Amino acid sequence: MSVARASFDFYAPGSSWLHRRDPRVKLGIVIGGSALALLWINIWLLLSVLLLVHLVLWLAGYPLANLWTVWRTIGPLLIVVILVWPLFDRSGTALVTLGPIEITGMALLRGTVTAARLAAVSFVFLLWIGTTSVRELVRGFVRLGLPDAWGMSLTIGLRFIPTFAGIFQTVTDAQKSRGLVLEGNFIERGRLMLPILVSSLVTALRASEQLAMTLESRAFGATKRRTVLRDIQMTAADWMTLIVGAAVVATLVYLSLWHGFGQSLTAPF
Amino acid sequence: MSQAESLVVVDGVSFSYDRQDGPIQTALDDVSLTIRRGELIGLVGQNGSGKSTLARHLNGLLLPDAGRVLVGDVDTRETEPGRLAGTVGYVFQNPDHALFLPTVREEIAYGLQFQALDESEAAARASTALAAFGLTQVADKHPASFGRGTRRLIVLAAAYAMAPALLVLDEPTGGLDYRLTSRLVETLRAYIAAGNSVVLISHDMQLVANTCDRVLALSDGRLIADGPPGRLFRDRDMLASTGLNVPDVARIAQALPETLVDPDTVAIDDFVEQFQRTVMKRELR
Repeated sequence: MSVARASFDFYAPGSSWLHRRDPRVKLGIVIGGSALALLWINIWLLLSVLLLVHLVLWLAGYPLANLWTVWRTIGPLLIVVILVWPLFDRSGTALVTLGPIEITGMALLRGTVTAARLAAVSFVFLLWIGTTSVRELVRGFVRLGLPDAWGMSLTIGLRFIPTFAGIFQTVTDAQKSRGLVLEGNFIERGRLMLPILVSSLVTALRASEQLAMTLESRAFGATKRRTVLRDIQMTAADWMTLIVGAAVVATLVYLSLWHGFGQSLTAPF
Repeated sequence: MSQAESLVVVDGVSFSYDRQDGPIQTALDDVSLTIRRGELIGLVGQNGSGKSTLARHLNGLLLPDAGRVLVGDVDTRETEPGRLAGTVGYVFQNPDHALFLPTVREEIAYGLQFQALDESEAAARASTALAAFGLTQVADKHPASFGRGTRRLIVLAAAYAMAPALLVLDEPTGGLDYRLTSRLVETLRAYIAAGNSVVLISHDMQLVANTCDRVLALSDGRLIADGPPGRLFRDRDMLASTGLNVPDVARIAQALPETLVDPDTVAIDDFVEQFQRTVMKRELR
């Protein structure tokens, strides 16, 4: 069986409590959650954030396969962070000495904290992009003041990521059919990739030009004011979520900045 | 024909796409066929019937989940598409997927660099391909400066220059006017006469009827017909079940009395020739 990814986004449709929240509220959760993850250096708190986000996504019916995909995607980066951190951080007692390289327990812990922070921020973003369609996501930005034309550009940009990925794959196939074999070292392979990059770019530019003409033919930009078929609306539950969420984040930020909450590597207080 | 003349053997091939946003989609289901030298084969079927998936198995761009594809003696699972390009040429539907060089001549010579030819032979092959497709006058111009029809001719000429024993063409006449289509068909016939083969993927049933001597029909990933176009286009039930239309010439030939025209006639030239012969006979009486 061959995998043909029809979509490269992480959005999973659903009707859960989280899916039904206004995208602006979810954006607020992302900003608040990311701020806390960046503020805290405590490993247990960061792992708790990760656990909580996974629990919320699971309760929202978010596919476990998608969660696994995110872990697989960011996993190598997290491992590199943990491994590389001790090369630049010599604080603490050495656990292992390999010539000029000294690996300390403190450096390993700090590397792990940084990796946990990256993972926490990534999964907090997933709360938003994993449960919000592109249309709602962009509509949220437009309702926050982004000009309509920019919103449309953003929608098209996000919508066309899989299309351009498909073009790249087809162009690669077309060049292989002409005898191209991608082999050799990194530089050699990069040189061999040139026909693929040029053809992909030409195809993408032609597609963009045609799309622009098509949009104009369909009256895009004819009037400054426009109607919206399916607009987003803040509900009572959205306001409640926003107010409670903001209060929780504000309290935690206050505790962190003025009372040292989460500022110890291993002990929360 | 003997087995030695086989170019490509498709043996019990099944293939599925595992889509991220939906169920597993079976694209080919136990397809078997043999492509021999000197054949001009039409590959027909509705959208999504598996035509392009099958075609991409012929040069190893896709590898079967079950079964195997042999190009000569080489199993496509044991090599790379680029290494098969000298034997099986594939021309994609959109010419822009292949074009990237600043002149038509360089574009046509591009594939030849992978064939370890000496410069004079490569230049000769490129010139022959340019002439065969009527591109000699524009050889030093930029491919992007032409319309889609000419860009399509350039990628066809580029594949032709590599002289593969089998040429797979995906909708090659899209964007070509009648004159360019006729020229393409003439070029393909000469190519076949030299002992090569062509697989023509097309929705234009009249083009398939006029040009091909064998037709493969796919439906839902299964090979449901394999034979001469005259036989295929008489099977109204099969055509109706797969949504394929009967070429106008075949429809007229089947409607006329057998004494006037053979009901298996599908190509327009054959029809005209038979019709004239019969009418002339009657007039002579």
